[in-house]
Amino acid sequence: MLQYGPLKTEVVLQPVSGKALPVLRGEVLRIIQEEGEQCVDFNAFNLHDYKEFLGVSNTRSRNAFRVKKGDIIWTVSSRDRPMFLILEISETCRTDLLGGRCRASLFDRRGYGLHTNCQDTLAAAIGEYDLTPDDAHDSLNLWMNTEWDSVGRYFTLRNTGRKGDYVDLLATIDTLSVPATCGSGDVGWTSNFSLKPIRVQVFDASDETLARVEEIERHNTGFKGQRTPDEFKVNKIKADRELRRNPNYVPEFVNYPITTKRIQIPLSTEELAKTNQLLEAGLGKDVAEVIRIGVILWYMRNREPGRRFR
Amino acid sequence: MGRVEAYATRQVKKLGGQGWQIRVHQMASKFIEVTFNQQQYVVIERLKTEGQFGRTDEEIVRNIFLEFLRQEGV
Repeated sequence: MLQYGPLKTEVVLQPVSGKALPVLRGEVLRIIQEEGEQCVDFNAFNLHDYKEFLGVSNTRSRNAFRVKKGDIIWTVSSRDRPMFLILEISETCRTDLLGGRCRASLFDRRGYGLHTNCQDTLAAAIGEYDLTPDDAHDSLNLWMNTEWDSVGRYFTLRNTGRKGDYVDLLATIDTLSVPATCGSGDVGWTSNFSLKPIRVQVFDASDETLARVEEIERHNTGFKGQRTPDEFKVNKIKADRELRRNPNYVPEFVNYPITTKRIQIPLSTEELAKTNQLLEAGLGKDVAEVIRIGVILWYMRNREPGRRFR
Repeated sequence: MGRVEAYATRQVKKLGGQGWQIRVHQMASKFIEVTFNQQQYVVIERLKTEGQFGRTDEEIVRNIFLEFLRQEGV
């Protein structure tokens, strides 16, 4: 386990509340189960540019439907940078990247009237930094024991969190981190039909945590597409709400138009027969496509750096 | 003897990094025209730089595809 710096901040979030906390590069955010069985919704923003925030779908597509120890939490796809590293996570903390966040209308529809919910809790917490409810985003959900079946149905099972469980997130950029006690748990298995507090701590950066951040930066930054606003064709944040067409705008699509190159490949009778086996197995619609797919698949399996190929 | 490849003629050719070899060869049964877009072609260019699978587009695509067949156990 890495040696963290000294404890810098500690708060207990009573049900149902949240807190926006600056967690700077190299600092560690620890979220602790005060009593156990409480789902935690988590939002985060680049402290210096709120348009860059925690990208749930980006994190999901880069890792899995759940994140685990050692996984990187990424910012949104327009920036695509590492935001946190999961340094530690209790075995009983199931994570969820599918559920988004609960909102009031879900509960009113079910007959509970105005009920606590994560959209409103997160919105209330980020208001301290002049962010609006529209800026609350889909959550990285901690201690949220969800499952799905083969046809995509999604459901919540009993919360498995235990008292004292914790998650340690190492910030790899300066963040505004926003943990919130989920408000849905008193009327469902999300928090086993009761609402409990959570404890949040922030530890200062140390030489070890900063060294880990640098290692992450070395391996995960500098790629095409990890853009800053300076590189955006449109980079001024729109101040009004109405959308109006800009008649002078000309889009610049990447590698557009798509062009092709034809290559003649000689195959012997035997090679053609082997290719036809793959054609019949459904690898492509014709022999040329089988060859093209075969070449790209070979590259993916044998040459792509860092590719997890199944 | 060098690798057996499907070229239409007998030829003596210098292969990248492998010295002179005699390519002896059965007649190509068929030429297949394979299309790559500019993004897929990046792969061929990268493999060309490696030199391990040939120097021309045709050599790269053919040799990589044969290697793919081998890995697939076909």
